[in-house]
Amino acid sequence: MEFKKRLKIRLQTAIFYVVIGIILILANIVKHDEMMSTFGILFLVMGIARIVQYKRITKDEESIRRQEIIETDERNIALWTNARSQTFTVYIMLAAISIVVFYILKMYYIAKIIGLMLSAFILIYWICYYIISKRY
Amino acid sequence: MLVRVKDYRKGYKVTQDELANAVGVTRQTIISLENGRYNASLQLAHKLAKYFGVAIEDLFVFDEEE
Repeated sequence: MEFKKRLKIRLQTAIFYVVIGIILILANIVKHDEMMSTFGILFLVMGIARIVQYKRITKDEESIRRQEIIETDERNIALWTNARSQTFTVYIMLAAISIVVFYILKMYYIAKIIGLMLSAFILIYWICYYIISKRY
Repeated sequence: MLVRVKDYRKGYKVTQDELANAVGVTRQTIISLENGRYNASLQLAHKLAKYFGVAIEDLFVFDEEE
């Protein structure tokens, strides 16, 4: 996909975040639910930050080209992929340790929830592996 | 693998920034390549070889013993 098109989609997503944020903040006024306003502020800040980022990137052709190089640079892509893969490994290890800890602390329900999440993650991993292996 | 990008770049009197712009990568990638910390993809190796007008094996000398 062309980079400028991708930037446009990014802007649309940011506007969507802002709208969701405003809706949640307004919903808090009606429903008095603090959780809603927290998520609302979160979405609003995230959306505004992305809009500011979009404005910064698209201020001239040179900065668009520079950003495109950064995002398509093969070393950067390798770093991001590697970081994601290591995050997954660390997450799996921490989840496995926490299951044991919660089990020892007799907090079986939490241990079970984490166990289920861990199983889901591993299942998703195998599905992704299968799909990606079909591509290459 | 012996990477001779730095030799060619200096021979052609090109800065890392100029080379990075010419082949569409960041300057950091060129630095990592020159230091031997990063192995270029076949696509990047081809672009670099084309830029310097040499063969890929002139830029990246594979050491069989490695």
